Amino acid sequence: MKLSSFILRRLILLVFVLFGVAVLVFLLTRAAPGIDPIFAYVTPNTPSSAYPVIREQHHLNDPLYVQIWYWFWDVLHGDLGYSPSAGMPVSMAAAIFFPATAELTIAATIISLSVAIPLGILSALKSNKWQDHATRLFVMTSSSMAVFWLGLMLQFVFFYLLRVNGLPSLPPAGRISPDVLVSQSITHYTGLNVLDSVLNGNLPYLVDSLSHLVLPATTLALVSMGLTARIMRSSMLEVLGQDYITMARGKGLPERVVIYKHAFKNAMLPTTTVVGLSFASLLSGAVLTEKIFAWNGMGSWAANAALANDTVGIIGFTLVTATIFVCVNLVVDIVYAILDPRISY
Amino acid sequence: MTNQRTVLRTRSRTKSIISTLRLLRENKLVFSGFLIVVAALLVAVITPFAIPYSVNSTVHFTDKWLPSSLSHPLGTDDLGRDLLSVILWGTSTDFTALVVVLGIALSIGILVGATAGYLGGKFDEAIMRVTDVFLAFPSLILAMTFAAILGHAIINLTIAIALVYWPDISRLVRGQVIAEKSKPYIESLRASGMSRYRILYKHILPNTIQPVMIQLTFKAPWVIITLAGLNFLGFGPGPFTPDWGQLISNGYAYFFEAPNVVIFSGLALLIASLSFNLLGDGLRDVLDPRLRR
Amino acid sequence: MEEYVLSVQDLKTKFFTRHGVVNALDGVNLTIRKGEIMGVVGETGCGKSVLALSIMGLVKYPGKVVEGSVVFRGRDLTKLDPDEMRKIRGSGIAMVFQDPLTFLNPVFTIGDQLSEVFLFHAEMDRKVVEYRIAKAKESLAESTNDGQRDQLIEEINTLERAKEAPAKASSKEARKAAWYFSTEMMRLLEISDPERVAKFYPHELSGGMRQRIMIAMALALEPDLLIADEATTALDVTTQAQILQLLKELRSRINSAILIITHDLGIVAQTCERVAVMYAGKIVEFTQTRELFSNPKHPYTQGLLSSVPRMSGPEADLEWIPGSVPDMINLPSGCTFHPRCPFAQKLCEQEAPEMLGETSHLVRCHLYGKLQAGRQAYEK
Repeated sequence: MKLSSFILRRLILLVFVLFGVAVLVFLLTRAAPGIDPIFAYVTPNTPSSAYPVIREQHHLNDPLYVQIWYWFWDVLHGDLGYSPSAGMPVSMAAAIFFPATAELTIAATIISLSVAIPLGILSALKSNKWQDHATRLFVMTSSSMAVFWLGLMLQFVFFYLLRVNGLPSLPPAGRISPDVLVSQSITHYTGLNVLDSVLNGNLPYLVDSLSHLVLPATTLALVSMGLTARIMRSSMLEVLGQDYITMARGKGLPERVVIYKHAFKNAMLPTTTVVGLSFASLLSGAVLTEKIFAWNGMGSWAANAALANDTVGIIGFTLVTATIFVCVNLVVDIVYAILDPRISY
Repeated sequence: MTNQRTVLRTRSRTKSIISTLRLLRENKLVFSGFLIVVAALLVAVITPFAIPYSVNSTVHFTDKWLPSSLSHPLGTDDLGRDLLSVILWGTSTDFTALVVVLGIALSIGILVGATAGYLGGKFDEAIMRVTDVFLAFPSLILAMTFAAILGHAIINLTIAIALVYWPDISRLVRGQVIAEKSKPYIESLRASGMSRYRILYKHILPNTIQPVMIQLTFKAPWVIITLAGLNFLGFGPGPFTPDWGQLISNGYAYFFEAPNVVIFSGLALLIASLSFNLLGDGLRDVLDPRLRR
Repeated sequence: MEEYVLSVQDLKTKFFTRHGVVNALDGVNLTIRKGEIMGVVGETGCGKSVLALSIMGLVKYPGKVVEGSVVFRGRDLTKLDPDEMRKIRGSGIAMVFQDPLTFLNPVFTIGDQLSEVFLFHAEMDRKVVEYRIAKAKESLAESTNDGQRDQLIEEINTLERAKEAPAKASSKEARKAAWYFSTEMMRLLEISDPERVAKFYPHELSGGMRQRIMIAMALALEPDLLIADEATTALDVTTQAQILQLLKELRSRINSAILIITHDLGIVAQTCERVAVMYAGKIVEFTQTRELFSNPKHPYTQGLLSSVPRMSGPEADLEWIPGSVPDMINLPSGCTFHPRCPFAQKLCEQEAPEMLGETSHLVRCHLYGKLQAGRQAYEK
């Protein structure tokens, strides 16, 4: 009732933001000099003699404000044009590449949170002791690194150095080894290799896809966890100074209950918001991480599209990512509203 | 009376800069960050005039991918240039770009944010929705989109990054302006007949400087890293405007054979952004004592 | 021999701040008898809240109890290890704080926060049996079927026997029982419809209601001593009176001693049997409430009393104590009150007075010791 009306209101706002995103994206495609919008609607096999017909079909000769309605109509029907760098329509490319990126970002989020939150708590509890300083330096260093450089360094250590010394090493590229791909056949329910191999009960496939996931997900997690850890630390410190913590101690609760129940839930409130925000840096980082690790996802596609000057590809990718990002933040807001009983919807 | 007040304010501001520096010195880590930032700025200015090896014209294909040696302390890159020189030159490129990005983003951000916050109403609402749209994009992706459309020149990359960054600043400035304008002293200035423009310019805006400064220091690493990322992806202008990201991109092809290029260019990038982060951390601690523990 | 529930001896608590050492408590002696209501009064910043926190072992960094003892149930609390101390908090000594909104956790329900007190202190296995008995008795009261009634009575008897050696209760049932006793506690504090209120969050309740909840938490385990630190300051006068009345009633039912910490002499007059006046980290006067009001000895107490407006008697200008609470880092030499004292002499600047007089009325002032002669002359 109350919560649902809050969600509804947020959804309406989301529609407006996405509308704005689409308009901005449209203007970038059409108003930018030197880019012929026709390339959104042709494939390399289309004969140039067909161009005038296509132009007419997609109303490209009309003024911009007319074009935009037809473009919207196409977008609403899932037609975002043809991406030469992917060699397929944008909608199809998104459907194929999205699960790979989802797998990578979800794994990175899990790693990031499960490291950042305990680190934040630790440095708050040991505020201004060596544990705090060490955490601060670690977090600051990891978030000062360019994600692509960190990825290369991890490859250098965990693939190259281990391998030249004859030790077992982690695969530096791809989502699955070719021999596993050939020998094991699984049904792809979700497109997320790890999840699919669990659903199929296929252990070799699971081990192989996990080993491929470790390096890219860690890379991405390391770079994005700094903000979360810092916010966790400062909100934990803030909460620990609150009166209700004194009260909880005054009631004679054990210290673990005071910290992991009373302080934790309150400190998680600001942290939740930041998790949503840092998801943006995760998506940005995914572009570079996927390129480094030859991870065939949205980011790789976007990077290739960018290199090949495939504007349609970039635009499609941008639109899809913006939608995901906005939706993730909606979910975060809802989680916040559920966590905090004081929030008035 | 107003003049007297301005004088007092200016004096106290100079004083506060000095005391800020003094407080910064208290923390060794923060102070080293400060020193590195200053050193890097110096390098960026000096390098074009005093570089051990020329970067632009000399290409020695026979000398490429050399390991460290006495004549080339960090080895050479894919074009046979001295890596140290190229990295130093990259400092110059990256810091110039940084200054340009911050300049553009600040101008747009302050102008838009201050106007929106000060005028309020429909204009404010409209601006906020526009920034909503910009903030709905993950930053690198929007920058990529702008860069792809604008074309491969370093100035285009800086414009792309600035276009992504301005909403952050304008939101910050707007918030500060709204908080400041609701204070009682503004009311009394208005009652005394001071013009709105003058109130904004003389009294409200100076109060937004501190938080904006902190934000800039924290965002500087992001600017450098995003620029490097764009260059790494191949949006850069090519080898004769050397930049750290583009060096890493070049070294990537022969990474395992000649890791020097990637490792040292990346280290330069890391040191630069880490020192900005340290400085920002210290500045925030000093200027925002609420966060100091 | 008098029975003391708590005996504080020469307690010193210092705060080591970056500006210097704050002597928040500077040698406090205090004894509280079983079941008595005692008051501690003083201006803001005189150290009375620190006294409460020091007794509870809750002094926050950078503060520290550096000297003295707090003897409770024959043990010195300042020397207990943290876990032993934790067990005493809530069950042996409980505390009610000033502002019930900031002292209740905003993200947990009232019932949850009340239940915790039981869950982490009481023998829950036994409480669960008691809970079952209570439930069975409820059904017994409602039941009309004779066969069922016999069954229920049988069940209650079995449970009563089981009370002595209770079986291990599941944590789920323990939570249920704790919740049940929480609502019972709320009923005791005259909160209507406690089952419903237990599901509320703190911000959904009124100030008086929240304060009742805090008192319910404090009294849940029938502690020997209840410390109420400005517990009614944030409330309006009517609610304040209700809460004080409630405290008095509950005191006689549970037989807890109550230490009321306040700056409000009115509250002291209404509720307390004995009272200690605190100034700058020291107790300066300690006697029966009646005696204090009729015969205040310390110039500070006299000042405090004359600054309370009176509705009866001749109309006179309200008096106040000149000056303000001293800087706790650089305390005045000698008697800390001398810069504000109308009777101050040379001696007061040089030498700190001891506690003087009979045990029934102690006062820390040279006027009743070395300067006695001068005072008597002045009074004449």
